Amino acid sequence: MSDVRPIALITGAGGDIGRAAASRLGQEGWSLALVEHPSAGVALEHTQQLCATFGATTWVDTFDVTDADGVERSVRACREALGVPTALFNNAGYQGRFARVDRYPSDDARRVLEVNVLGAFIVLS
Amino acid sequence: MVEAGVSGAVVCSASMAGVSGAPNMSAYSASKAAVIGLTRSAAKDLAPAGIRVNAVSPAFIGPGRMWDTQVAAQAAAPSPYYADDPAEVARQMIGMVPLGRAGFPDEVARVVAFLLSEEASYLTGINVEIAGGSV
Repeated sequence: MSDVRPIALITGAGGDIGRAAASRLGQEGWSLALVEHPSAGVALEHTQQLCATFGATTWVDTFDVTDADGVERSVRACREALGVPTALFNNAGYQGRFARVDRYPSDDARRVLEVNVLGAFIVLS
Repeated sequence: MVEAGVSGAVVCSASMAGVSGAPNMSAYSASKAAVIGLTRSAAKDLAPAGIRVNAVSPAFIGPGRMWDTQVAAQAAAPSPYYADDPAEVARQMIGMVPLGRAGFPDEVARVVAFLLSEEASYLTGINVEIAGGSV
């Protein structure tokens, strides 16, 4: 058995499910690369503080999942700081507005699809 | 992972909205259905590299910010499916779940941890519905 902890990268790590996953994986012995959208830095800090309480190694960064260059820079920085992640929780998402389909604003629909689909695609690739 | 030549696992966050369609959430439902398609396709593309790709689809998850936002937003948006009072919307949502409650965030996290672990070594391209029996 290797004593090197495996590394998991979690996007949307400041959200309810991202934080729960960070907590669970951290307690199971994973080192954690925690990332969030720049607007949710405070929530990301809370996740990092929670993971510190049970001694998990963490590395944090912020990026917008729709910015391919930003994602690549961050993954490179993660590899230098922690190592190569062997697990990815592709969790960042945007719920969008709540409106009937015929009244749904198309600019918001575009943003929802960009973040949830293109963002997941970019982080995955 | 591919570039570094290491095997591993990916879990994508989909949603029951992408499986069943949620009222007032057409863009979100469409996007999460797409995430399930992306997961299934990527699972095939990355299997030769030893990378498993799966999805989780939570339904109503709470307590937390996500639950509060969703209840308030459904109450505020006109709909034949939900009342305009957030407390009543919360009751209506819970009423749709056979297990009779929302799922805890950790109940999603446990499935994610399982799918990322070696315990799930023969699972790829699947979508796990974490929905308390709701469809």
